[in-house]
Amino acid sequence: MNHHASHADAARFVRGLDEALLDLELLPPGDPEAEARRDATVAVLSRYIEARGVLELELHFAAGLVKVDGEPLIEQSLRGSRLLGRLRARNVRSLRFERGTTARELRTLAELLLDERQVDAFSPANLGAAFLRLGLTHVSARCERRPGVESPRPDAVRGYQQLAAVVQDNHIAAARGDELELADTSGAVEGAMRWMATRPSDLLALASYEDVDRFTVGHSVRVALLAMLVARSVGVDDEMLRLVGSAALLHDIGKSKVPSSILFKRGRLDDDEWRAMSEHTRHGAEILLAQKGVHPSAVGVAFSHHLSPAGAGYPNAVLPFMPSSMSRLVRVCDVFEALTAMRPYKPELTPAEALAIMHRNRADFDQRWLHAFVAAIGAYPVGSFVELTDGRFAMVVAHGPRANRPVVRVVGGELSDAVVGVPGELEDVGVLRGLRRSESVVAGPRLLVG
Amino acid sequence: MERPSRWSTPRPPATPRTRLVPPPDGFAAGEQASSLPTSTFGARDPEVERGLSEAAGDVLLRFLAREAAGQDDESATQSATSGRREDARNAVGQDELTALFEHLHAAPAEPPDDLSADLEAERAFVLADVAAAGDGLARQIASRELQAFSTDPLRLVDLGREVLVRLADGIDTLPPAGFGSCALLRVLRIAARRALAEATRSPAPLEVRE
Repeated sequence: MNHHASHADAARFVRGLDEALLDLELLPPGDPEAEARRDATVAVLSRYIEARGVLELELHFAAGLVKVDGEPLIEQSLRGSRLLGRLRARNVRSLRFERGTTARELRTLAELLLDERQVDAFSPANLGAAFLRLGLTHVSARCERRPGVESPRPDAVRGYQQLAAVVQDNHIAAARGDELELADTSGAVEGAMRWMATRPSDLLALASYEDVDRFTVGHSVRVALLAMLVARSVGVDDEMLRLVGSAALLHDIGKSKVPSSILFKRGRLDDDEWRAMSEHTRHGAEILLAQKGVHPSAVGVAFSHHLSPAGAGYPNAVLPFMPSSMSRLVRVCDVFEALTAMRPYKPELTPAEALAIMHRNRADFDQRWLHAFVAAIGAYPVGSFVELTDGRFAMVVAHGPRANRPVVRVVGGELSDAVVGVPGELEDVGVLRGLRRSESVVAGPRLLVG
Repeated sequence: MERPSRWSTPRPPATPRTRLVPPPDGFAAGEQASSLPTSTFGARDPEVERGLSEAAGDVLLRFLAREAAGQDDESATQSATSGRREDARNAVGQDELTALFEHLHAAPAEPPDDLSADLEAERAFVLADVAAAGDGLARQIASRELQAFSTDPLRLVDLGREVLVRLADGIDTLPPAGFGSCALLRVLRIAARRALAEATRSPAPLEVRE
């Protein structure tokens, strides 16, 4: 196994550690699935140690990131914000897992991190003895002496972590029947609004990381960001923007009640599974309705984001339903995000292809919101690459006068930008197609050296 | 439309990036999860070009590294099967793209409804649904609020004629042995009909939606 593959194992191990925390919060003691996951995590650790020919795996935690051998694990840092938060609260700077670490030790460590009464176990004076007393003979930690030594990370990583954390925390709370963290949700959305006004591309860059986890956190974050962007483009005020962001962030909360075996099943769902899945919208409305202080718009969006403007779709409502304007906007963003999402089991669609499919099924969408969406995001979004009808490639640098006539910069061409299909600029040239991200990697370097 | 006349960042050097070693798999595992370019939210962000070029280079290296490593995908067969099905469903021809753009160009750019539009109507339908078919605490809360809704003529009138008709007619068509027997829905139907009648007598007519 090469360095590259063993580094992947380190990332898997961190994911397993984060999962161990989730399992303890969500599942009863002795749950066989949780035990199997811990066994698998320990096996990954052994494989890493074996492949690297070392005695241990040491994880470092700094500035909101998990690092191995000095390299940050971005994806794990974004998703493992709960783990990072608990480590930060205990001033843990590094964790070392030696050869021979057992699944039981993993569980003990997770319990220790979750137990607020045991925070003192991580003080430098108590650390060694506490770990030994608990049977953590292969696991050790290094902690800072003083609390709060880590400077806050006022950047997009933190902004994304906050958004992802509220989605994850709320899904966990919903799965356990606990109260949701609504104040945190509003706070994270307000943070995102500030980011959108200053350095928005940073946030979306992070939002495009893989999100195959138990609660599809990344999907909810991306839908919220898209909905807020479109809403902002039509000029809504900050209060409405906060409502849209919060509602979109919580739109799939009902999935916390759907068994993960159905939620993440690859392939076609049978009738019973489909019924269970389609109930997530009603579950979502029920969860939010039972909370104090939830704005009605969030309840409505959770219920009706799979309904067409005419009320077709699911859930199979008791009365002929009427989705609100906000629900109709979130539906557009939800479907678009799902179509453009890259998953191991399906090819991603370009934004133009996704819009074409939505146009094919246009009765399912509010056409005015779809138009507003295209106006805000574009069929060929800024930053994407296109193939032109004359065989050249180009990068989209701005929206053009029409959706299929963006302002582009031709690969290897002059530095000036030109509008596709406009006399005096790129006359008699059209956009043949948008390039997928995987194709863009070929065009990208050529553009930059051209 | 505002157009940038020039790239806002300096032109990158003509030499290839020096980082030829594949990035550690911490980054590699962080596969992009969306086909949207990362700049979608910041069309004029000065960092766009640099960010995109770096992302493009990293993705290319990841692909090369993965091929070399021989991807271990335990569900490769399953993925292939569902992938083929997905492919067929999601295939988009040039004619469809043309139709999309023609539609976008031809259709008048009407502004969407205000984001607060129909929130109250949606609330009424959600409450009716959860009160009739929901569960537990949510059902109790929905029942309570629906009751309050039904006894508040002003709130009902504010829903507008179309929504009231839809509510009343919808409840009328429910099977008597099923949700039609729900007392709360029957009360709502009566209240909706009454509100319609009141509004008809009222000098200020109910708003009729287009």
